[in-house]
Amino acid sequence: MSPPSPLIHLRALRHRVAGRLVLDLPDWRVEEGEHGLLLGPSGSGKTTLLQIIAGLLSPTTGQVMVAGQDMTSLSEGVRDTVRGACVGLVFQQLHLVNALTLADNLRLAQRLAGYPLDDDRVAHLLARIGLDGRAEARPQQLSQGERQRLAIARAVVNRPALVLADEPTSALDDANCQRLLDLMLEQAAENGATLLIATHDARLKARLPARLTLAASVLEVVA
Amino acid sequence: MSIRAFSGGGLGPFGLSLAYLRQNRLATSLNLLLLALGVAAIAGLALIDHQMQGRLTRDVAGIDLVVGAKGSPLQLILSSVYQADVPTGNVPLSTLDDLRRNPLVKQAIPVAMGDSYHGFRIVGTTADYPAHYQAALAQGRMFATAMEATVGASVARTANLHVGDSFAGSHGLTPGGEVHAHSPYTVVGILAPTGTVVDRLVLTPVESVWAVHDHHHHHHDDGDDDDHDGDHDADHAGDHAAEAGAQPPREVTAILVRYASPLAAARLPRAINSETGAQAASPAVELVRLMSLLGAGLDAFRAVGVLLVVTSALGTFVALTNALQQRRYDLAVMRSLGASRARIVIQIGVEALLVSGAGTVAGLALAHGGIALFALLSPKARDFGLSPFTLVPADLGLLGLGIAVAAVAAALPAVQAYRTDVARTLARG
Repeated sequence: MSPPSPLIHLRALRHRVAGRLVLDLPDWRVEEGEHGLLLGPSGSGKTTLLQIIAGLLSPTTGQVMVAGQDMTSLSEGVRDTVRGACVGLVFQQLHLVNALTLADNLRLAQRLAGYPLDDDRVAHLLARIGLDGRAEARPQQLSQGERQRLAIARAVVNRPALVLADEPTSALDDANCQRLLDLMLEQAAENGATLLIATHDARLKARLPARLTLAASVLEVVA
Repeated sequence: MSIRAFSGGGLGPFGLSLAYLRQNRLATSLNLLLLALGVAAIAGLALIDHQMQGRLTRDVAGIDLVVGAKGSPLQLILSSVYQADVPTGNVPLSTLDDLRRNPLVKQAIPVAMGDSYHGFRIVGTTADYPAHYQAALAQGRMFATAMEATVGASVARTANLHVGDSFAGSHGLTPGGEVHAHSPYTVVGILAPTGTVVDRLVLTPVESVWAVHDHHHHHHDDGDDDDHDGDHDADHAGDHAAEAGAQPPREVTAILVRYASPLAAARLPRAINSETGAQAASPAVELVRLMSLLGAGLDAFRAVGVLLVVTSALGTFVALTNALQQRRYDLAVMRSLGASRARIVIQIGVEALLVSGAGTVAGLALAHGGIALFALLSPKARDFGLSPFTLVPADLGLLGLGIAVAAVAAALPAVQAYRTDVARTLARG
C-alpha cells in the first residue's frame, strides 16, 4: 500500500510574472497536520505561492496537488468549488464584508462553498473568538484584533483541510501576536486543518517550524 | 423572516443585493426616486392619453356627421358633440326635417343649446340623444314635455338635484348669465353615470329651449335672431304655415346624423355644404385633427419623461459602477470563498434588476396613485371618466423598459467584475 498522498504537493513548479521567474520549486510537499511557516522577505513570492496553492492563480508550468486534487488540470469553476470546500484563506488585509453582520460573514462562507447554513456552527465559532452576543454587529464596529479573529473564524467555518494565512500578525503587538497564533493553532486542531502561514515575522519562528524559505535571490534569476 | 427564507438565508444573490443596497441607502433611494419619477411621468401620460382618447372616441361613437351653422368644423364638433366650445350658430328646424326625410340618413338627432345651470349645459333634444349614449335612468323617467328635464349623473351630484326639484336656467353657456326665472324646469329623472358627455348635461325637449327663448323675445329684441328670421321664413314658410306670424323662428343648434348606408359618406356632406346654408362636419376627421393638435403637447411631456428615465438609467449605471469599485475586494473575496464568475455576474444583475424593478413598480404606482388622488380631489377629472384602475398597454411596455434600463446599467460593471483578476485584487488589498 502506498502511503497517503501529501496534503500539498508541488512538482516542477515555475511561475513567471512579465517574463521574470518569481517561483521555482522542483518538488515541495506538506503532509497533513504538518503546521508550518512559509518564510521569505517581502517580495519573495510568498503571496503568489499561497494563491497558486489556493487555485486563485495558475502557475506558468508545473503541477499543484491539493488534497489529492490536481488544481492545475481543473477548470476554473471546479477550482472555485475545491477551494471553497478544502481551503480556508486569511488575507493580510482581511477583506471582511462590511455590508454584512458578523454572523452573515461566516454564513456567506458556508453558502458560497455550497454548504448548508449551520447557525449552531456560526454561534459556536463566534463564541470561540470571544464575539458571542455581537453576531449582528458589523465588521467596521470591531477592533483590529477582533476583525483578525473573525477572519480566522471565516477561514475555518467550513472545516477545510488546509488553512492558508498571509502575514496575519504583521500589524499586531507581541501579546496579540501570540494570542492570534494560539487561536489559529487551536482552531486548526479543533477542525483538523493543516495551517500554513506565509510570514516574515520572526516572532512566529519560535513557535512553528519553517516548511519553506523563499530566497529574495530567486527574484534576480532572469529567465 | 420570509425574505431570508427566499434567498438562501439572506445570502443568495437577492439577499446580498438587499444588504448592499441598504448599505448605500442614499444613493439607492435617489436612484429609485429618479427612475420612479420618470416612469410615473410616462405612465401617467399614457394613462391620461389612453382615457382621453377613449372618452373622446366614446362621445363621438356612432355619430357619422354633424350638421350645424357655417363656421369652423372643429368648433361645430366641439360645441355640439363634446359640449365644450360655443356653438357656431343655429340652423332652421327645416334642416332637421329635410335630413329625416333623406333616405341616406338613418337617424337625425337635434341638439339646441343656449342656456346652462350651474355651468352645466341645458340641451334641448329628443329621447334619441340619451338612447344613443345608452344612458340608463337611475331615478324617475325620461323628459317628455316642455320644461321637463332629465339630468346627467354629474349634474345631479354637483347641483344636488333630485326628482321633483325645479330650477331656472341662466342665459348663456357659462355661469353668471341672466336667470330665466319666469320659466323653471322640473326634474323628472336622473341618469346613471355613462362616462360620456351626457353625465354633464341637462336634457330637455327642444320645445323647452324654444319656450324659454320665446319668453326671452318678448323682453329683448335680438337683432341677430331677426336676420335668421328672414332666411327661415323665406325658405320654409310652407313647412310652418301654421306657426308663422308672431312666432319666432324654430331653430336647432346642430343635428347629429347617423348614416343609413356607406354611400351617404360620399354624398351627404357635399350636398349639405354646397346646397344649403348649413355646414356638415365629420367627427372622425375633426377628432384626428384635434388629436394631432393635442399630440404635440403630449409628445413634449412624454419627452421629459423619457429624459427622466434616461437620467435614472445613467444614475443606476454610475451607482453600480461606483459600488463595484468599492466592492471589488468583496467580489474577489466571494470568489476566494468558492463563488464562480457566473455567481458574481448574477449578483450584479440581480442588484440592477432590483433597483430598476422597484423603481419601475414605484413609478407605476405613483402614476396610478396620483391619478386616483386627482380623481378624488377634482370632480372635473371624475366627470371626465378618469379611472386610475385601468392598466394601459404602456404599463407593460414600461416594465420592459425598466428591465432594459437594468440590463444597460449592469452590463459594463458585470463585464468588469467578470474580468477582475481575483489574485491580483486580493494581493493588492
